[in-house]
Amino acid sequence: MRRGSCLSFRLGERVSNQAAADKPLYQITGIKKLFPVTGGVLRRTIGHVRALDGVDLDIFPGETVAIIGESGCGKTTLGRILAQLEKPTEGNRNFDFGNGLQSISDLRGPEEMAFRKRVQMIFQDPYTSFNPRQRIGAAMDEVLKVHGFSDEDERHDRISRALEMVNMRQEYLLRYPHEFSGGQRQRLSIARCLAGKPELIIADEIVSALDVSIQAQIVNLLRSLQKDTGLSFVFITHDVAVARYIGHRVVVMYLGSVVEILPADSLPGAAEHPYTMALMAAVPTMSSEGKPERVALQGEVPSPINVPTGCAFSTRCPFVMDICKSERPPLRDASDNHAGNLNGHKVACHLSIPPKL
Amino acid sequence: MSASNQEDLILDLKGVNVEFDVEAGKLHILRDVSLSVPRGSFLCVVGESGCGKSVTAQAIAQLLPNNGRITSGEIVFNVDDERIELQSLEKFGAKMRSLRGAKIGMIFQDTLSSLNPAHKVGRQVAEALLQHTDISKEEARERVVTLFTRLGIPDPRRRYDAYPHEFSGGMRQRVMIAIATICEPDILIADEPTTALDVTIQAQILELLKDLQKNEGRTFILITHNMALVSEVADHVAVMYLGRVVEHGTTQQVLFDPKHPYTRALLKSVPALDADKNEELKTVDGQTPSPADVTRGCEFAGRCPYVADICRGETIEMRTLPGNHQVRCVRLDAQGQLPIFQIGGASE
Amino acid sequence: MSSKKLKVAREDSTLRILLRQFLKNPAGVAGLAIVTLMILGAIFAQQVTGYDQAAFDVTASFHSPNWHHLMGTDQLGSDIFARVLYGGRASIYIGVLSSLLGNLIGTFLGATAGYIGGKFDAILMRISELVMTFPQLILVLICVSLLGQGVNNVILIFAMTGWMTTFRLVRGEFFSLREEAFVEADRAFGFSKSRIIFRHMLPNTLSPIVVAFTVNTAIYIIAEAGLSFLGLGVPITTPTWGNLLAAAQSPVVVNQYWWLWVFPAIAIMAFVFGVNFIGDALRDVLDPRQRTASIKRTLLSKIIPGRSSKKGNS
Repeated sequence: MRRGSCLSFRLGERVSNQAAADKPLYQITGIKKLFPVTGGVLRRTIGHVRALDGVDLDIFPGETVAIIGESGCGKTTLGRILAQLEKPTEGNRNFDFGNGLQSISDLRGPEEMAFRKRVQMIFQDPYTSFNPRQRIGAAMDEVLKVHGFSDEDERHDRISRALEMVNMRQEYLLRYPHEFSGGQRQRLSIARCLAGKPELIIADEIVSALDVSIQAQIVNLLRSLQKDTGLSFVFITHDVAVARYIGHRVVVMYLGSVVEILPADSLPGAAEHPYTMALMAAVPTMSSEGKPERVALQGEVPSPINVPTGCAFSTRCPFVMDICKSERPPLRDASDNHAGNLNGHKVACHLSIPPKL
Repeated sequence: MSASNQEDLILDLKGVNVEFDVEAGKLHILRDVSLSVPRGSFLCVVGESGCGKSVTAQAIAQLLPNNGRITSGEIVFNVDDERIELQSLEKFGAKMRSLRGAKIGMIFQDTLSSLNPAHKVGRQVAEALLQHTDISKEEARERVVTLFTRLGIPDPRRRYDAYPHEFSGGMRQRVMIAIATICEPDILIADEPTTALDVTIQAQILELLKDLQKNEGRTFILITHNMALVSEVADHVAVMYLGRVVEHGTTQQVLFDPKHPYTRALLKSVPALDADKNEELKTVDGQTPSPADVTRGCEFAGRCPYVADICRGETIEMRTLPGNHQVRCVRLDAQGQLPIFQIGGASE
Repeated sequence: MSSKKLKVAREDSTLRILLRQFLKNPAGVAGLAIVTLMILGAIFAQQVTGYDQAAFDVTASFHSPNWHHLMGTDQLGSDIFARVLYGGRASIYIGVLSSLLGNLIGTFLGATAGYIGGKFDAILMRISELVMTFPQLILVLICVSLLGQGVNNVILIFAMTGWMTTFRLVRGEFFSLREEAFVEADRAFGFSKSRIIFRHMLPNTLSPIVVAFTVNTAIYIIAEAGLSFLGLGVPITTPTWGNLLAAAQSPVVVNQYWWLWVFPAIAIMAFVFGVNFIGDALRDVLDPRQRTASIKRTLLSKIIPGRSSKKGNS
């Protein structure tokens, strides 16, 4: 990747991940999302799917937050709410447009557009990520037009450079989406976002549908993009190893709640939540010493329609106590987060001393 | 081309070629595939999309789609003191049908479309049993319930009468395993059975499969693209690229001392849980070409960092290194090492 | 300069590409030829046949086809050939416009209902069901008696009673398109609803709409023929194929003066065939995936199992 081609992002105005960790770019608190379930002859609402059950998260400039979890954990819903594709049933969302955090719960018109210019999303299915009837160049041009870039040359400039940043040739602009492979389309999706110089890109399982070697290409690309532009990423995935590799922090979700947030480097050893530990143990690892003794987590994830009271993990936790069944554990600083950093290790568990598996 | 003669091979593929008829002509999907599978072992066939691993499984079970054909080679199946050449059997002839299900079990990835949504699951499992054995319906039901219990399906008696959509993905996969194993086949072929499942469920299913291998002496062929998974369950590994087996050996050999450049690239593409975050994932540029684009010589030549002129000549033969570690690469020296210098890989 | 390249990319030379593709399709070309010939014939009926369709000559009444009158004459001695060609004017006009209008209404309603969903969609669905379940012929007759006969009235009535199929078609397409990633991406980029619906989703439903248009054209030509046959459509002063067919109401005519109705019937059939051929060809042509896809790509998607598999549970 050529450094010279990099678009000048607002690096100067933003602090890097290491410095002032008390200035989040995007902050959400108490996010809940319920989907009504209809049933019966009259299609009345008979219940709710608790996709998200009270999520707090801070995203800082220049960092990659990897969100992992299994089916029903709500990570995709969280991504969509962050991207303003869905409205939460409850909760606050605040974004820093440059003058400190302000509420974005009720954005309309130019303010909404201002947000959308800064926060963009890439989706899982590369094969439908572009309008099949539109040439790539036209698609990217349209996005910039809608975002208010009226000068045609400027648009063209941005698009060209975005393409360079993802290592794709200019002539690809004239082609149709179906002429590209899945991996190439994901790169083009990334370029489409980059042209507008966003501050945060939400990537929802963008490599899951790709071959492993193509995944690696995309992962490398995202890492170098971040180094060069200072973009923030929210990387949603089910692949624990990739999450640890690409993220600065890893957010572990279970049944609509955040159970642990840890610095990626400290995985898997520093995990304190029993679910995180079970997850780490379940991930297949390449070890020449032979197969590790596995702690198989029994049973399956309960349905999000019937989220257990108290801690969501109480029904399967090997260390469950009485309090776990009645009270939901708050997200607190973990035992090694002495400084109480906002972007440090947090865990939602009633156990005061992390268990040893 | 095959393992040592002393080994008891339950399955021996020799030079299998498969072609597909398509609008524009013929596509050569499997090229001279040779695999020997010792009885009671666990073989993993790995590769990315388009490598032909699924087609290999289909060829073994004689379940190639209508436009596919085995054009040459042998698939020798040794069971019950009989030596059967599967490729010579009629797809839906009596002999092949008696083998499928009873001697050769299959587990697929997509459980939703592999199970009949209109039938109760118990019945579907029992059907497999009733097809191949002469027992009563009640007896069959009992056996199914017992199997359900063994496979960890809770409340087996009630679940017998449930429909596929009432099960979660992991449970459905267990039902698929039940169908595949109820007749106690000698060999089981599983095509990406856990790819669509959560990692904790995947761990449970793999435990199950390993269990079946150890305790019941079944042979397994698992098709997957997940190398880490392979390291945990496999005894042997075969790596495929564009229809050819490019490396074959024990897990220790292929995963921890890989010789073929593609195998090495594949292994380096996947971040381990303890990967060094300061290092970039060393991947291979470009993407897998279409089978129609393959010309002479090594299929991987266009993307190989070690490519040389010799690679583009004749078809590369499989070379056997000590320990029966087979590699299809012409750049290895006498000691089986790749050259030190790498050329920059082909770009987009 | 390269910005021109982008410009070219935007103003799709799609039309030219489509045309070229269409012309390679034998059915399409045949259909186009038939339809064009008949339309030209309709316009230049007098020049082609040498007779004014309205002119009559009682001495030449009921002549069977001969060299002077290739399709014979009717009771008044008017040349059938000229009348058949001329009748195409009204018939084709009605067929095409009814279909167009009905399609426009159906498309607009279907697109908005499909995208917005919810109560709006539910209401529209109920309305469409109401109109659909009412026996169509009776509905049309009621409308005719209310609005009166005449070419434009017939068009209006057809459109008002026939928009539902297109509505459901487009609505269905929109429901599935809504889930596609590029629509979500558009929303995430802040595109307005109307931009998404009309500039992104609608072009992707073009294929079924165009096919529906051709099918409906054929249907309405036949419907008009039926109506006019019963004397309820276009009044007899304006010749249409249906009107001409109405001559066949008398058994005497059917048996003895067969040329009075056989030729209009053939005309209807020929035109409908032509239109259907065009529709088929258009459908084949309008899918961009077939326009420039290399053979290999199509091959790969056919033989690699699981290529199109969607995400696992997440």
